[in-house]
Amino acid sequence: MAGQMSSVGRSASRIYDGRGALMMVPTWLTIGIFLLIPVAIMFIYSFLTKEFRGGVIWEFSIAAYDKFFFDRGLFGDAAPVIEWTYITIFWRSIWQAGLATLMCLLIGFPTAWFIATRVPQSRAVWLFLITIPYWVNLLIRTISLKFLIRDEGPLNQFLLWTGTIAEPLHMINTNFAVQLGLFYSFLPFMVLPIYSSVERYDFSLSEAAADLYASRWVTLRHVILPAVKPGIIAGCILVFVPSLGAFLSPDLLGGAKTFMIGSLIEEQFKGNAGNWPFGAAASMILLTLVMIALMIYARVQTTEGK
Amino acid sequence: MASRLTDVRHFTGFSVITGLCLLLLYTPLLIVAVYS
Repeated sequence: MAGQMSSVGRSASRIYDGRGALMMVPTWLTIGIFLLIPVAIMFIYSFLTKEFRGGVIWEFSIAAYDKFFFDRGLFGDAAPVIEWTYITIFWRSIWQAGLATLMCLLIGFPTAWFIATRVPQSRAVWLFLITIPYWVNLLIRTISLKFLIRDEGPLNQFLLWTGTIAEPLHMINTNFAVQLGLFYSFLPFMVLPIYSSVERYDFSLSEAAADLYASRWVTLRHVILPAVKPGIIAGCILVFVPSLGAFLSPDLLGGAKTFMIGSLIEEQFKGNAGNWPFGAAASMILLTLVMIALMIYARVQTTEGK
Repeated sequence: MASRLTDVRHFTGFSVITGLCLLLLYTPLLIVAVYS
């Protein structure tokens, strides 16, 4: 019997080996067409020359990268000094995205935990409630948020009516508004992976911790959080990466002082006044930063696993 | 009493945060819907 099973296993394995590569063709085609080719086009464009009415001239140049990092004066003949404008925008994008990720985690983890610990019949309803607002277009949701928090908006009116504030709070065109927009845009990307992790969590571990006189919060910190860490990290990546390149929330809810890298890239490709090679170079720098961060994470995970 | 203190399925405050989360998600949409 065992021999028969082993033979069946070997046979299945041979079939898989033969067709495995073939079965991967649609996946590789999709990745190639929708990911690698666009990235390759951006990479090539970042080394071309700017055309004045938008577009590119097919002449090799590193002017886009040079413009990003160095200031050579109005006519381009001055001694190069570090161009802090774009580096500042990058830095601002990183901390805005980081803060949005933290906000999503602080609200998303308890929410995911609460949902995952309901009776199985009601979990679907709770998840449904979390995802329903995301059936509405992102642009509509962002504009509705702008409408809510503007100076004469319903939130200020409510706070004035209750006597909580004496004059309207200025929230629009601030970092707070951008944070709120990013949080509002990407919250389910945090809740769903954590929920998935918590659902698989073995609660007998918590019972064992309780038997050893651990309080709930000690159990949360030393048993639960390490167990659901993969879900938390997946959620953080899923929120941080799109937040870093977001342009809708900074454009609609922020002002000039909250300009982010996504808006900078968008402006380079909009209308006839843009600079396509510069936009492509900024995209490539952003992509490189994200990839370095993910590679560090992968390396840390591999080291911890050993 | 002991089970209440060690029952990790019911963390104090998590239900409130879930309520806050739903409030944040639905308020802008509901207000726009009402105004429309």
